[in-house]
Amino acid sequence: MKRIGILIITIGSLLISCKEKDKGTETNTSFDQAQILEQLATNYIVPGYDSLHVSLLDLKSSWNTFLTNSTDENLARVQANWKRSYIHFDRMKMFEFGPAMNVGLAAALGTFPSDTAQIESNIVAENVNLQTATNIDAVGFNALDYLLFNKNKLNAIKSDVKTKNYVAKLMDKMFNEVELTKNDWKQYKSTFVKGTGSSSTSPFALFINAYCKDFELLKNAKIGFPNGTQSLGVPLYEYLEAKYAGIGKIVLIENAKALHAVFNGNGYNNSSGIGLRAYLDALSKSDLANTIDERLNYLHKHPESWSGSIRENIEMNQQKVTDYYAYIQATTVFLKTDMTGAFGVLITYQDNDGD
Amino acid sequence: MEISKNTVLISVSRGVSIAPLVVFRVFFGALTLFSTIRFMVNGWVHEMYIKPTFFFPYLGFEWIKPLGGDLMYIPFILCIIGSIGIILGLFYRFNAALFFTAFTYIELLDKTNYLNHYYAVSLISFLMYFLPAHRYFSLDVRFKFTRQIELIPRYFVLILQFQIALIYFYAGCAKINEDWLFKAEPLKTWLQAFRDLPFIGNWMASPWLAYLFSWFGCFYDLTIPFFLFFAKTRKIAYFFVVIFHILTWVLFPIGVFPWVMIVLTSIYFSESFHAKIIGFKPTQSVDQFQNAKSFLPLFLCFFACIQLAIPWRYLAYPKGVFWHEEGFRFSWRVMLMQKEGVATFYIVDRNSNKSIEINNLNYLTPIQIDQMSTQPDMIVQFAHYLGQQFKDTTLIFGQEHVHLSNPKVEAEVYVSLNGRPHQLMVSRKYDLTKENYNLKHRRWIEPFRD
Repeated sequence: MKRIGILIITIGSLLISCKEKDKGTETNTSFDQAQILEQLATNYIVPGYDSLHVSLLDLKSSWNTFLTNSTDENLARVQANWKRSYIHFDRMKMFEFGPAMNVGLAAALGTFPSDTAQIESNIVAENVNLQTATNIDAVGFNALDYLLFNKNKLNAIKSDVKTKNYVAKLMDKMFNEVELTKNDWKQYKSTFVKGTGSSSTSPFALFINAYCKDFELLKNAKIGFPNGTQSLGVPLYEYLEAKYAGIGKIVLIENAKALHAVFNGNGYNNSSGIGLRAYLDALSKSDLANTIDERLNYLHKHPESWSGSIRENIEMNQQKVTDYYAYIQATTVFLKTDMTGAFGVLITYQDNDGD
Repeated sequence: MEISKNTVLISVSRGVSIAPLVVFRVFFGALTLFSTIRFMVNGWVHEMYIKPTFFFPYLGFEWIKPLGGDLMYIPFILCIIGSIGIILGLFYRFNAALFFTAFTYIELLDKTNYLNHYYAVSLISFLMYFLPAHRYFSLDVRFKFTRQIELIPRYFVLILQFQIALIYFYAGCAKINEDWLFKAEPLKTWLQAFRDLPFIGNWMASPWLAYLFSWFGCFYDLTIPFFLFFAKTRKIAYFFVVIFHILTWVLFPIGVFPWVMIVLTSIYFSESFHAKIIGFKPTQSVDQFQNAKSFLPLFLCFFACIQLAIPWRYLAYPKGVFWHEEGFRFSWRVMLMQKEGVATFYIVDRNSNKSIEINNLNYLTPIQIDQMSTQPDMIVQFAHYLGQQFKDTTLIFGQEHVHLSNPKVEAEVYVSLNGRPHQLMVSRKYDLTKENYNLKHRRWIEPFRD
């Protein structure tokens, strides 16, 4: 009898506490994670890889045109296609899981600064295997940056066969890697959109982790390192991204815009849809959603207002760049603690008894 | 008074069948064998014990060091040998000691990998060494290394029942807190992640289910050992054990833990149940049992008292055990919180006051970073390690050469606990190289504001 009494008291108090709690919070229980994944895959990732693929194809063909007719005009076309491809890449590199992870796409295309000595020795040696780890900073967009935009290399790319071959090899490698990723996504898409849940191997969790990682990479690589956060405040300009073409600020802005768009659920071509923001709203965490939205907005709006390159801004007013860095850092905390905490996403892949 | 004391003594030391102990031995050995092999097959030896360059030792156990490189497989192989020895009852005492030593050695290496059920396995294997679980249905008996016995004093079974009851009961006590009972956190957060499941997805995302699970879980943990103990309620209680643990296994990534509990709770079953499993046919009657004089019951009593006391350590610290985690471990606080943190460390040059921001990935594995970022004792350990790394170093940045003789190490740590907005846990006010790692309350932890 006693036990039954306890049971009744337990369930009774349970019901009371439920009622009390539910008054204030309007959680949307019918919201599905699958909506986010479906929208992301269909409207962002698939068209995004298509765009990157197409622009790299254009890059290759403009290079071939340049090879047959090495005019400044044709070089300008190559450079324009390189820049366009780079921007597409920075809008896509946050999806480093599944197919992209298998290829190692983000590192293969986006490692900087590049090792110019390694590039030079690769050019001379010919037939080197560019897939090796030691060559990771001799390939990708930043290796091309060194070769296509460096005034000292102008003669070489116009007349030196070995240099020309190396450029072509780099472009082929990048194109093939993107093509592989793009094609793999055709199969992976169905796995992805079904991959809900919080387990660390679920595509939803993989996506959240990759998103946060790319965000931190923006902070550390694009701003922090060159601004001296890891060197007692001494600026390290050699660590700047795309420094020969001088588009570091542009790709920073595009990267930040992309992270913002994906958070809000926008498509690759700016259509609107359901994203992480909507999920936070469904969890009745709209305050958090607004804060993150605002902060992500500032992250691309602020550098848009800078005149000159990142380097010039560090030179003129390092404190301003340091403040911007601190703002990104504070935003990281919102993403990595509050947001992942709200989603209940696990980032460890081993057993855990929850403590 | 005198009589009741005697009755208790007689009741706990009377002769009972050895069968439950023997079955427990086989089950326990099988579990440890399985989970050790699983650990190795999953590649976790490499991931957790070979890859890291820095380990987080327990206070007082800093002298326990990993074996270099692939040698780290040795203690795992010893665990396998020990487990097989326990199952077969071959060189039982040696193998029980071997398993306990190898397993506990592994666990003491890095608190990153602390799990309550590993602690439970260490404790139980320690107990197993003292119990005569190999005196029946074993190769030791078959090969006549030891004499077969059929009866044992009851306290050998009771101590195992006590150990398992303690785990449940304290896990239940730990759930009596505001977040668990009145906010249904962290279960609300964890369950809503299953919102996409067909049919039941909406329920999973509904707060009422989280409240139901929270309250049921608390009630279950507090009462299940008693329901298992009494014959009348045992069957229905075990039914709930199976349902409960399978449910947690399905929902949460807690590995072998549910199976450990499902299997080990069989120690509560009747003697006849265990007798059937191993075909135990007693030739002696319990009245013939003669209890040998021994210090063992006293020792087991002492062990039990320590076990009872350890989880209350947190009372020696200021409020907020979830926040500062002082007295948190070894207390059966299971599945109690969702903590997310970002910890940034700075090496500060005392002359210029300029700093180097540390990329944690250069020193720690992702799992280590994940655990360290929310646990203050690990934060100070890592800070000390960084201090050593940068002590007396000359750094060259382009034209500039900077000598760091004894740099400060500061940390800025933000943590979100059970769905609350993040708040500052450690501020850059403190030079962590000056803060000792000891059992005292850590004053450099910012107070928790609810």
